Amino acid sequence: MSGLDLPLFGNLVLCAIMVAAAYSAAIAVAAGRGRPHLLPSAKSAAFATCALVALAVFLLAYAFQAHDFRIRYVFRYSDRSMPWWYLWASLWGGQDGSILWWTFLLSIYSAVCLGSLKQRVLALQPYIVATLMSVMLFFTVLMLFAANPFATVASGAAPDGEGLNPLLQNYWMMIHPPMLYLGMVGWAVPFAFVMAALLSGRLNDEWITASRRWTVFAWIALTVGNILGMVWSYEELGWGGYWAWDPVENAAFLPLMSGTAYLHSVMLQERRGMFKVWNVFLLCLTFFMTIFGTFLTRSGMIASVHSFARSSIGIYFVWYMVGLVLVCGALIVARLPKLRAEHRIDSLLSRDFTFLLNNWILMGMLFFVVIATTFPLVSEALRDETVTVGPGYYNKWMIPLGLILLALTGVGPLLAWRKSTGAHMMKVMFWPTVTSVAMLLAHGLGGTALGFPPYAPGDEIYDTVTGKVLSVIYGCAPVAATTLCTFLVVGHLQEFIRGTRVRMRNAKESLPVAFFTLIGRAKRRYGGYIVHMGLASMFFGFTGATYDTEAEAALRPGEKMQVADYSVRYDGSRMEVAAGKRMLFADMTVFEGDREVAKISPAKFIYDKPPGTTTTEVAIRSTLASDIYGIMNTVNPTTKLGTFRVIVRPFVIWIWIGGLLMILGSATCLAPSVREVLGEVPRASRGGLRPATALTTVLLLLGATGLWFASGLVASAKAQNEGTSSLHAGSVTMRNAEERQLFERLLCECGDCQRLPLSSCTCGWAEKMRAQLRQQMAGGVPVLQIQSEYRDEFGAQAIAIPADEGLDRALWAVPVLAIVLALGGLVAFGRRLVRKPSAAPAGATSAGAGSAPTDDAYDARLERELSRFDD
Amino acid sequence: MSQVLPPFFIVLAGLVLVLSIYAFWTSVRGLLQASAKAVTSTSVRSEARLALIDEKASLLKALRELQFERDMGKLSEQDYDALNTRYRMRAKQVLRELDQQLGDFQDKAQALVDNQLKGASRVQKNSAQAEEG
Repeated sequence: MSGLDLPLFGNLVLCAIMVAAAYSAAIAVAAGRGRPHLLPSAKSAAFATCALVALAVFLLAYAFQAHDFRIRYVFRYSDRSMPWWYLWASLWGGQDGSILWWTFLLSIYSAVCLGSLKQRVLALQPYIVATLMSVMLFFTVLMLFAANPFATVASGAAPDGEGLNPLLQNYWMMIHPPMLYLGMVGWAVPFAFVMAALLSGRLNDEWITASRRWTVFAWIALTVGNILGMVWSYEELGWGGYWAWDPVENAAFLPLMSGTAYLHSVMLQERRGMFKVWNVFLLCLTFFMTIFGTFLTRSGMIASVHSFARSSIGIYFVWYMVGLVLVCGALIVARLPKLRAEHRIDSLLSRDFTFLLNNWILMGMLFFVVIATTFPLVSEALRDETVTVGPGYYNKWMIPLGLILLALTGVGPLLAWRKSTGAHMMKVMFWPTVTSVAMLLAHGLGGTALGFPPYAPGDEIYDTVTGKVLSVIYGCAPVAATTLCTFLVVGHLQEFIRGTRVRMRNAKESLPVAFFTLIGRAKRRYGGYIVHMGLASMFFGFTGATYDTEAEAALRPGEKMQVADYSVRYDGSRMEVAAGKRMLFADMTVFEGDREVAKISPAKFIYDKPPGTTTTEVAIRSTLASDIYGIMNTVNPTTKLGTFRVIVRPFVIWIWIGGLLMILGSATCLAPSVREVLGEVPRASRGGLRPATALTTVLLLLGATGLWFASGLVASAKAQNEGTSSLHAGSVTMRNAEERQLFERLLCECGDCQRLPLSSCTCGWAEKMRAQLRQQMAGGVPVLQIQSEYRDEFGAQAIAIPADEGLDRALWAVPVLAIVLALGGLVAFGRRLVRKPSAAPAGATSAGAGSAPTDDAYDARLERELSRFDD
Repeated sequence: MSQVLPPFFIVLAGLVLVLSIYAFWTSVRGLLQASAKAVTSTSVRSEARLALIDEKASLLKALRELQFERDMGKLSEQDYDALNTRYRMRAKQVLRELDQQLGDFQDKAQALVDNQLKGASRVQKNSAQAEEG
């Protein structure tokens, strides 16, 4: 290979991808417009394009492994000391490579999807090919003109590269980003189906059935990607939390909201022929959000710990998004006559209507996060003023929305489809209500004694009525969450128990047979219930954050610090050396009373490249009750004096258990039925069974493995063996919760660093400012007043929570108003949708009641059809 | 591993290059040789029929769910009877309409067969007459 001009060859391959994708899309469109005989050619060209993308990836992988530092991307993101697995991970470690990786995953999706379609949905296939290839075309254009992974270093090949950022040299880099990409890219396939339906005008349920497994698969991948992101944040960033509402985290969260809304509302279309426009819109929106998220991450327009450098690719994304909006909008408008609802709902007191409410709150959350994420850009554009919307803002506002979602998730499955009868509904809700009230009382009366008070008042983020109201809601959140989680879990378990009993009674089946047949015959329903219980488990885990206890101390070997019910002894430090880094460990022993319960070893890693780069490695000991999270701030290798921060955070592991339940539930939805496995289901209705099942298996393995690590069961061993990293942890010592609350809201304004909050910025200016602010607090000045004075001195951009005044108020007022108005509109719309009692039978559009069949032959046939019908 | 991986990726690259050339060649050859007769649509379903098939599936689902939810105790007998009757009526109506549509196809098919048979018998008659003549 030494004679090969790899950069030139790589560029030629990129050009070939562009030509092949355009060629394939063009023939596919021709096939869709009256020349169906061209479809095989279009598909072959699509396969050729996918193979070319794979070629580009393998060439770049070769360049990394062979240290071809002529290529700029290889030079910037690798060096000769890196092991092969980090060289492989470098493929997606930088901007140019990550776009190629995005395209590669799209090519895998495209090849598997087109290969599995065979002779099914023939009328849709040309447009599916055209859509997938057009997306691929966009990303190839992006690579060729703005983010070329094969671009060369102007000064020629260097003897060694700059190396991958140490922050990215950890095993999460191998799992988390590819999984997240898999989820983001996966929505391109359902999007291709919906575009095919819109373009071909075949808007019946055919496209929904054919794309169902792909949709669920994309949803699982995105969910797992998000959860792994939380794990990565918790275990690697070392700041003690799992979700910081960073713009890039938000970017991955947004399509999850719209995708979840779609998965629910599409059931109404399948059952009632309703909300066709809404479903088409939601799927287009979800794909749009994946592009928007990619734009946020890569344009560098919004500051984020994840984002790549500011670059010129943002404008390409903007134009692509504009194009998407115009094309999707025009198609939806053009197809409106075919997207009209065929039916009405029978009652507002039905599962149908709770699905609408579920869509309402999910879209409300999405809107809220979109506004908050883009507000800095809006502010800069409208008034040339930089603002920052920090996690404190999101945490306060998203809690009420999350609790509403939890309540709806708990109630929805207890209601009957179509119509619930009041008395029967009370009967169904009896046990969930009784147990949740019992939990409410138990938490209310006994929680404080156990260290989990039901009301935990939070700080006020505004000095206004809004701030006070939010603070009260925040304070009630723990008891509300435990009550609602109990209601949800008991209600869902009851659904399993009652369903099994019905089968045992009606079909005379034994308990295990009835249980598994129940799930097997309605996989989506019961898989969904498992996902819901996973959500409850996660909410329970989130609640634990309210009861965090943390302590910081300077210790000499043999000395102890007390945190909650634990005492932590510092045993000593040791230095170890590995390839490319030195590792300074602090060995600590955790006691509960006099009993030794764990040994933890937080560490600092000092990397050779870039020289002096230091990362902080946390050590975690997990149990079902709580996590002990140890961080080494400093250790003097000579005197052995160390400063440490230890957090005891209850219930964290329930978040990861919830994640596993979500994967299990989603896999249940995707699992093939016995009839499908035995091949008794017609091919036309399989919907890409085999590839989706195979992909799900891979995903499950990856996700479960990732979460297993996440559970913390191997945390202490891992802390000693793996190269991990931290952005935030360690060097800032805070003496109490009030200090933390204040420092988290104020941003460093030294002008040199990345404007991190004072709670994590380690520069000299920040240290000096913290000392000044501590003096003010010691003098009795309230936090809000200090915050206000800080804003007056350094401007609004210095505060991580915009004020409740002027344009800043729009940040919360606009989404809240929209959510309230949407609820009003939904109720009014719902009432209009409800069928009048005297109305004609459902769907009686082509024949009236007078022509209803009366012959027994159709009754008998209907019974036969019903006995064969699988949900 | 660091010695093995570079040639490994080169081999992979070579394989996908060959695959790509083959797929592209298949596409171009198909494009040049393709004729309208090469692919025939396997679907003769009209939009109206597809809509009825969708509706049938949703009605069957509805009937199954109604029964199940009645058994689960979520639905009163009165509501169940009212909804069940309505959905059953519509389901039978849909089945009938599907049959009627199929009936049209059956009539057409029957006419085609009759024509073929008539043509065949005419040919037979002519050849018999020719033999007699």
